[in-house]
Amino acid sequence: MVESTQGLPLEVRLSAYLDGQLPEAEMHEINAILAEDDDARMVFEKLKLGSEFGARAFEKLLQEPIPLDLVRNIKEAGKKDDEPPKADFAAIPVSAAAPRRPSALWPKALAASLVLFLAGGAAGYLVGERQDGASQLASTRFAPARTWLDDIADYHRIYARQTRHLVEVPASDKEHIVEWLSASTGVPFKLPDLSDQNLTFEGARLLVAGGKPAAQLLYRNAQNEVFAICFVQSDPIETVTALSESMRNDIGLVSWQKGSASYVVVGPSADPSLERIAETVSSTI
Amino acid sequence: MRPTAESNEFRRELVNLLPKLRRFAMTLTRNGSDADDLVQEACERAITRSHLWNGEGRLESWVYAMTRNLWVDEIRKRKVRTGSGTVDVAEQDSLHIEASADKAVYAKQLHKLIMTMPEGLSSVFLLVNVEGHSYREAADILGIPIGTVMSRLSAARIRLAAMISEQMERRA
Repeated sequence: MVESTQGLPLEVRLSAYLDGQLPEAEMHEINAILAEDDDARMVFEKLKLGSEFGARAFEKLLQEPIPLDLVRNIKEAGKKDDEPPKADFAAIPVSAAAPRRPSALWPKALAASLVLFLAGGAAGYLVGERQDGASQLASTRFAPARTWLDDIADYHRIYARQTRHLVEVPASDKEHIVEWLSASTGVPFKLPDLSDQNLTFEGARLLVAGGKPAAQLLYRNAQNEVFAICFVQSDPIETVTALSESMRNDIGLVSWQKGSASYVVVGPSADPSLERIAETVSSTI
Repeated sequence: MRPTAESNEFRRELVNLLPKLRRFAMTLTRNGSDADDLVQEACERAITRSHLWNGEGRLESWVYAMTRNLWVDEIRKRKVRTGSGTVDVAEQDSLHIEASADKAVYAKQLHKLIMTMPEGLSSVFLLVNVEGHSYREAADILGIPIGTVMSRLSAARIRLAAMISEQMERRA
């Protein structure tokens, strides 16, 4: 609570009133102003509207995926100096780890681009935005579009915690799993053997991701952590796309597209072996 | 030197903090790439100084302040390199809000909207209105007086209200 807001502009005092930060005596004063003054009430309503809209907007920002290499670098930072890598934590050798993000923070070019952005870059992209219409409500327009990967991350967050009911069909029915999921998803595949990565195949599930049937092949490591390979049918492409890493909170994803299917390897976001697993899967599935 | 388990625990806490830290960094840099670089620098610094963290209060406040300090240093360096640099709102007595930023309501991506808000406004709004820091905590993190926190918070709310109002008028 602040000591006094006397002498400050009314909107500042109303803003503090909204936060319950005014001294008791001033609360009564603002109550009286709001009861009598239409303009003050209008300003107060604007403050509340801005507060609620902004809060929603910033919450959505929190849902943006975190670059996986950022996590890895934090896991690895300073380790060379003070301790050997541990098996349960960033277990890959330092030399094989993702390289430290080349810091683009400091070059001159970027400084110049930021100046340009501040000076008028906003206006530049806004011109483009006008062309696709400005007719949608902000609350819907600003909602980030969910992709099949968001669904996969949600499923993984739930199923990876299951102990007795991790899978629908157990690993003992491998032949049936391949036949069943190939037919259900329209994506022919072979079960990848990830024993070299210390992963044991546990079984499979059929999911719905991005509105399409999705296969989920589940594996477990020695630390009881669950990894999954998921795929859905997609528009055909002639080549294989590069592996793309992303994060959804505690879930790490490495995805790619090949032929008529999109694939993703899912696991704990802190595990730096995800990309190696994805490389193995992309060449064997 | 910290024991391994403690060091690992500190890193885990930092990783858990990443989404919020990245969001805070975006309000400072208003640029996703810069924000990621800033977060990385801040985390590396936090790890090397983790022995200074006494475990009291909120870890995020400690890291936020470190992040803000790094960004202020970077802005100073850019000013030296370019001769002008960007405007460090955190050090100004008053804000200079660009007229072009009013058009941010057209932005498709949410973060672009927030990025077009002046640094001083969006950082304060995030800390107080969204994350529930007190005025004093926000002032300490950002290195500004409480009065400035209050005036920026008020300005941010009015600006955000104007954005949504303009959007709704265009839709009508």
